Amino acid sequence: MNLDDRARRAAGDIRREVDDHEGASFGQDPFDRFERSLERKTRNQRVAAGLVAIGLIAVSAVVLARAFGTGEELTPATPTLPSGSILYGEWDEQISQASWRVVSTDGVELVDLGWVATCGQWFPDGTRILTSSDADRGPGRPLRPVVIDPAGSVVEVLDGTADPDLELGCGAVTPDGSRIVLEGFNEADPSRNGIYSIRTSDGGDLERLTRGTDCCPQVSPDGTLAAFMRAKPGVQPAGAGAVFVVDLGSGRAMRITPWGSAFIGTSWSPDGTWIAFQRPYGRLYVVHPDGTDLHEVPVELPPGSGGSEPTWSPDGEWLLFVLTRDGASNLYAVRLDGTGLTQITTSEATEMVGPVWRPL
Amino acid sequence: MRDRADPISPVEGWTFEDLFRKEYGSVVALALALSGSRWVAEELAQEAFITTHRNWAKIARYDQPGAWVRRVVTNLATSTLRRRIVEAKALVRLGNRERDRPAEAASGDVEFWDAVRSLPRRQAQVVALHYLEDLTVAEVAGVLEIAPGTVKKHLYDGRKALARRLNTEEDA
Repeated sequence: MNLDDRARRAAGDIRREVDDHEGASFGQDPFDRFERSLERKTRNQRVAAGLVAIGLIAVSAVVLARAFGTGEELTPATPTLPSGSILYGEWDEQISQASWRVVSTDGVELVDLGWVATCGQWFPDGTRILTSSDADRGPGRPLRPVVIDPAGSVVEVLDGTADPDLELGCGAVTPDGSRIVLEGFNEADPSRNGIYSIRTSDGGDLERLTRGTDCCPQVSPDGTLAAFMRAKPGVQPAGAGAVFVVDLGSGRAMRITPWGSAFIGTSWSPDGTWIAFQRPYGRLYVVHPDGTDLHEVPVELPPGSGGSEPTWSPDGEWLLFVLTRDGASNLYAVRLDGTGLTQITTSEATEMVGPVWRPL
Repeated sequence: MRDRADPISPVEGWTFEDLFRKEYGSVVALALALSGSRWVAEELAQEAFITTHRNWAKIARYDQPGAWVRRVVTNLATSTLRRRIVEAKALVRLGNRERDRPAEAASGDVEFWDAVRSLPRRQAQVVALHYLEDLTVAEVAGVLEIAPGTVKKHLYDGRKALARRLNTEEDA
């Protein structure tokens, strides 16, 4: 059988597969499901708008109380959550990129960085943000790391790697600030995919660490290891992989969770003894870097919701994560023992990605 | 049964629901070919139609609104990191409803579509649209908003790579 005949037969298989299920989208009529999803999103937007208005009134009340009040301390809305700020992305499906913002842990003060990219990450000292040049990517302009300041201004494009066939994307800065560990890939030549390292000062001195469909490395607090997710064909559920750890000195990589147990998004605890990640379906897990004591964070999430992309607070007491429910997602935090579940944002965003707490 | 005779042409006076009901199955099929997962394909299709609905005032005036939905879903399905995020979100949305999850596609020529998905992004899009939708080079160019010459090049390179990978003859 020649290629065209085989292709047409394979196309017929796909059409039959869809026809056999037509009229049943997750057990519902597809258009009914679509309308419900749309209705939820519209309602969430109205609720969010109302909450923003309430927030503005509350802020005004605080300002007036401080100006004319008795000097008594006001009780903060979330007394147990440490203060600080969080970098996160709001996904725009039209451009398949995220718009990056910074929000305080009380969820009120928003800074729109005006930066659109796949990923964002604080430098270890919290003074700058590592992101990527997705908006400028094109023929002859491979993806490169970009350093921006917390106001969204470009500090530097790290284009010191003179290899137009290697795209260098999401990654993290080592604790001493000297290197960036990041994903590298070539869509036409998957043999180049893996984790790489470059010099922070200019993006040069490229070093390859792993070979595989590896994404989004995070460097351990002592700078000796990086955790990342590796995908592999045939792994179920779709999109899932396993958490790996690579020794940045030797390049030796080790799988520390079972295949199919993790999605993108790992985070080191500040003391380097735990790695947090998301396990299907929307469950928050932690594991030691040597693969021992894998267990679920015992948080009770609202029915029908799930958590993703957990990331540690600088004090090591909280996990920040994205909670998705009814077609909308928001930032939440919870203690490691599952207590203190706290909603941080009341956003209109349908999808949030990559939240990360600013280092102290 | 859907009418596949004229997959991307509009009908005057059609509402968004008309477009949805006519095109949903084809858009899911396209997403299925490019993602390899039935339930991720449905998530991608829903997402593509939500984008379409948000822009309906503009898209309704297009000559080929079906082409616009296809462009969105092919871009969603072939963006590697984006796909992983959608897949993760799909799983999150399912939450505890694992039992409701549609069965994964395990029938048909799995090897062929695995080979298509291993092609570079544009080649995979062009090959899927050409074979699955039976679109001409000009029609594929219209869907992806690229030059017909570029479509020809991607189709040529994609077919060569597929023939090599599947160890089959390229020409009839």
